Amino acid sequence: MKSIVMKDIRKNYGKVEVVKGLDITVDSGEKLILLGPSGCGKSTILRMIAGLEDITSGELYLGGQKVNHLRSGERNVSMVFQNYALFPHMTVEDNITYGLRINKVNEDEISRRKTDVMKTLELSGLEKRKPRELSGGQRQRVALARAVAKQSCFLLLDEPLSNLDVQLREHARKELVRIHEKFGQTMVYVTHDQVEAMTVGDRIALFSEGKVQMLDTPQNVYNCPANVFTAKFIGSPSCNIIGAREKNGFVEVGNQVFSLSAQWAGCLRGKEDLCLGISPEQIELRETPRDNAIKGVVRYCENYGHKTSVFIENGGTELVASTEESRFGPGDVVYMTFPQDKIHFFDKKTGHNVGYPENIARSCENDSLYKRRIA
Amino acid sequence: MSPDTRREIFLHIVLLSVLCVLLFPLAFALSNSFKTLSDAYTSVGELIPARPTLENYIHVFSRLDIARITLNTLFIAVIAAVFKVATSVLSAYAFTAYEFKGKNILYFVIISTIFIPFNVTMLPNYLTISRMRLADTLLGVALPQLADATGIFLIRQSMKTIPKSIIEAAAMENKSRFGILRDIVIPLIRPAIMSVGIIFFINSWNEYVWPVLMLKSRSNFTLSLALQMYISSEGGTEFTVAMAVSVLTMLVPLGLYLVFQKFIISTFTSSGVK
Repeated sequence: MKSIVMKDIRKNYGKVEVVKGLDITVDSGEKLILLGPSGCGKSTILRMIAGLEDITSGELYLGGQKVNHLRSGERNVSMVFQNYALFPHMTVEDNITYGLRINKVNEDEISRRKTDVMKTLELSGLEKRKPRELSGGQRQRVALARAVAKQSCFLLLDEPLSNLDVQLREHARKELVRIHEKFGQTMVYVTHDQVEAMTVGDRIALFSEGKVQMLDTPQNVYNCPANVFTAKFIGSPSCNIIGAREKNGFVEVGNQVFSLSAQWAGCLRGKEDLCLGISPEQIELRETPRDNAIKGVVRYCENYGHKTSVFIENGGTELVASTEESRFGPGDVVYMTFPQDKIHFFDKKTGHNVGYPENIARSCENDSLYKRRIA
Repeated sequence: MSPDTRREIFLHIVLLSVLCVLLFPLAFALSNSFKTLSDAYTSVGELIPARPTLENYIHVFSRLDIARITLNTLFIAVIAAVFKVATSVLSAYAFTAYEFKGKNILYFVIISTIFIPFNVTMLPNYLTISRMRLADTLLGVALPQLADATGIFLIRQSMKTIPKSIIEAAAMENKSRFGILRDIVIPLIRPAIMSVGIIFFINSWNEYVWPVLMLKSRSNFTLSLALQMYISSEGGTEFTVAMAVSVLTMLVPLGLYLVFQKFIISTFTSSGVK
């Protein structure tokens, strides 16, 4: 049992509540990502699990044991800090073995674990170096090695890759997944980077203002966002959210309409004020008129090499579409179609996803959220 | 000549003149300690004695138990330095790593004692020590010097430069806070600890007023008291002998400074752990 259970966890700083009642269960061996913009309380949650912050109210169980009152040294957790927090006066090997020595692991075992993690993380040969003599990527690996060598049941990572450059980050990401496969700890990973979240996590908990906005698999978070916040946060450029009205199977977008499938129409019946959500990469762009397409004018293009973001104006609203082609330019008239299995509708007032028709729901595998909402 | 070179030359002239002003008393003491009293009066400006003599030193060593006096001074200075450093480190750690009620007020009260002049505490201390029957003992001199707010302040400042996450990383491994202090905090602020210790040592070494109040018997004298015997109104006018005692008094702090100057300078110019 290496599960982490949070029951109505709250955290106040003075009168400000930064974590507002958290109920999450992280299964044994699972990789949970805490994702969110800065200041949303995700690091605070990690630090509460680690025992570095007091829990204002609620209960925290690690491996079935209530740990609210335990000091962090007694919780059998290891952590990788954002700035790595290596001990500057110790060599690489002392950094890795310090915790083991403190906890009286026998010398043979220490040396076995040290050699093992240093080999796994490609640190062999750097044993006697001090942290200041290492590159950023090496420091990050030492920090990870220190956390892994402890062989604790719970591995906590606080934006561990944010100080690395893009290439190193990609490499380190793969390494993290590999390490997890090898050691199988229950992992809680804080990041504001959605690519890390999508690639590393088994599940993502998306936070905003101290509350969980959505907790689900990366696929479901992307395919069936629970609310407007989730839809906008995931994806780059972020999801288009446009005011829309449904009328007799047609959706009004700006001053134009497109028709919905019968299933969608049934699903939206009786819901007036809506927002339509569509990811930029799901919009199909053409230069010639088509059935059920919405007309717009290109205002601006951003070319990333492998794809182009096209900013399109349509009756006062701006949409962005991603395409692999780069033939569009400012002033061009384009026709957009929205594939019916890729669109989302949100309640304008609450921001909640209003759900999906039966036939589309199947693409959101194991979607507990979907089932909950439809029920 | 480029403006930069001119600037350099100007700066060096200023620095050299300041250095001369600072070094002159030392050179004066050193040179006069090797002169006879009459030579000292006739050739005041002569920094290198025309007829050097060891007379003054012989006088000092024959009339004073200089070894004993040096040991007395050393005893007091070591106790003061060691205890002040220990108490400073412990309380600075408490003020940095612990959260408790009234922490800021307590810290403020302690730091404000820096501004209480010695004259105010002198009498109460004297009365306390003498009622403890420790007047005229070395321990009596050392006892009021076991803690120092300046030390707490300086050590706390340098502890605060250690990134919080390093302490937290240690806390995740370590079950005791004392272990963190011993394994992580102290090694990281070692330069600050060394230099604060040396400053305490030198302060105590040079101290005059408090020992003169406490110590009556010659066998307990410290170097600054011995020095006073030769230049005070009750003492003599043998000022060349006094210069020889001065030179001897300077030797230990000077040696310490030369050995540890790296730490002392770094404490006052840099901000510790990077």
